Amino acid sequence: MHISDNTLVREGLRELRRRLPTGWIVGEPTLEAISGVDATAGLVAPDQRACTLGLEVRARLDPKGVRPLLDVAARSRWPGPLVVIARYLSESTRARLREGDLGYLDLTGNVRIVVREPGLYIEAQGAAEDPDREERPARSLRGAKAGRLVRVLLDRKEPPGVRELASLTKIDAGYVSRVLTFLDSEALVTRVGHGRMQSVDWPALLRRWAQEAPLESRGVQRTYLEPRGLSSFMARLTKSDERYAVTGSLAAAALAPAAPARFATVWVRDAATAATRLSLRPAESGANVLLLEPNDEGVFEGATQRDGVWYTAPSQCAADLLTSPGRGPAEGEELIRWMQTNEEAWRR
Amino acid sequence: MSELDELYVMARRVLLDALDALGPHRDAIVLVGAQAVYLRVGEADLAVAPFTTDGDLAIDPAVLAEIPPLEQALMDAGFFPKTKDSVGVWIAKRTTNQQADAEVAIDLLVPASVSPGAGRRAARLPGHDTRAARIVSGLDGAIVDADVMKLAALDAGDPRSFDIRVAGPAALLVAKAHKINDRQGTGRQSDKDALDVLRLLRGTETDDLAARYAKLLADKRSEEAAKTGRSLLEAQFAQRTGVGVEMAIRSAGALADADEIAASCQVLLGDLLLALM
Repeated sequence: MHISDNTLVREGLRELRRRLPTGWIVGEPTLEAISGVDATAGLVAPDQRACTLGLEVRARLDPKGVRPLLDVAARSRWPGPLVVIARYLSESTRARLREGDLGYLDLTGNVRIVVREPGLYIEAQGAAEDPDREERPARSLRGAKAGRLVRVLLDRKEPPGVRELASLTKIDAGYVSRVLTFLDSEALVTRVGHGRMQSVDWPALLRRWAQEAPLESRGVQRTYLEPRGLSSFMARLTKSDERYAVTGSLAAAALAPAAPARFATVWVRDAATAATRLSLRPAESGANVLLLEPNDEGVFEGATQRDGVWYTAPSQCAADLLTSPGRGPAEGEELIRWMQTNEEAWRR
Repeated sequence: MSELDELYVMARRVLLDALDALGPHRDAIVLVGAQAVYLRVGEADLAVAPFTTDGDLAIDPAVLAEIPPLEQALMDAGFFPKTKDSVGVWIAKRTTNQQADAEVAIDLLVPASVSPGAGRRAARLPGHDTRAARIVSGLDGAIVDADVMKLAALDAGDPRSFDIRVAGPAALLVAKAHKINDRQGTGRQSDKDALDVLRLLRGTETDDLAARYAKLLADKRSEEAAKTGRSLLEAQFAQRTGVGVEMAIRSAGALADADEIAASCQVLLGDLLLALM
């Protein structure tokens, strides 16, 4: 039993108190490990009938950890109701606990406690996702925040410091620092002295980001047909006052040599609304327009307007192309070559 | 300039030569065919040779004067009949930059519904040679749906331009549908005609196209051709298996996605038919 477990138990019971019906009381926990459980707490009904809850405390419990926990519970021979307390329990962990007939309680409000005597049934939904997921060390560039951070590192000529990065991306400095440590360990950035960044290997970082956060993982994709062709579509875009940014072949073609684009790929906030305004028809086969709803607004960062049409920044476009179907990856590499020879044109 | 481009420039120059030669009759003439399609809607994102070198001119007998005879005006300007039996096909010989001989044809066409001649081919325009112009079915809309447009040379060195009536997109659409139907299975079928249909559908807003088409349906001269044209277009382009859809896909070739071409034909023709209901 660690000090942190102690805190966890107290916070967990506080959570439980909030959910108990009027008149029910849960007492302070007893933390000595008696009878093989981590802690116990008394539960008193309005009619003064009472029982003792056995508490198993886990800082983290993944679905795989449920089976061993059930074994522990069986060995403890605790006669009363058993409740697992954790900081957060995912849906699949909770499902396994329900199957094993173990009560549970997490700090986001996921609760299931069944007591026969005195009769009590509480079941409530808390968070569907771990709110503190980022507390874990960064191990990949997947996810919206990592993407935002990578974009700044790609687009800035002078690598910003942790605090500047945090304020530019509106991400907490702790997470920024963890990602930088990860990038450093992967030799994607070079740090000197007290962790100050000296340089960014942007082509490598760009390719790594594309690989770990492929296009389909960064948003929702929907395909449409503009029966009048792409020129018509682009003409309509110039009249659009919604936020959008053309990416993919069409955006790359304006910078690097490319074959005529047959497909328009566009980031939009709401695909259904944009499709209606742009007179697109939903299409499964024969589509020539792909609308992407981003998980993060960062895709619009650094967009520039040419001939009345908004295009993504080159770094965004290259990452999108590298994991696009067809000629996309080749066009992405072509764009990276252009970016290497024209760094002053896009890195600020 | 590629040889192909040069032929286009030459074809336009010869067309201007013909219009120049037909000067007094210009008011009776409507530009139709591929050059009219290109003038109306351009390539419409279909990067396939947009027109053949022929220039097609429809003649409205109601406006045409008897003097000068068409054949005389054309022959004075260096045109000659393609063969001694040909009807309405006038040839100009030109030399390309590579000193190759090129023949450019100008076709004089009379819509069947207004033709004075009732035979199979010769339009028999009064005062003009029997073989000067030929009867064509489905072209009747051109004298109903047309607007005056400026037709200029494609090379900077040629300052000429004429204000000439150009068939509207509805008239061209009807004409193409008839042409596809007439030539189906004859060996004279040209896939490019179907691509022109898609170009017209793409390049014209449905409201405009429907309004023009309604005008064709309401005019006695073009009513029958337009009615038949509507059924033909539906059969040719409203289904994936329609002959027009298949021709358009073949014509667009590797430069376009077959499913996109098919879906575009179906959607846009569907919109037009709906607007005409």
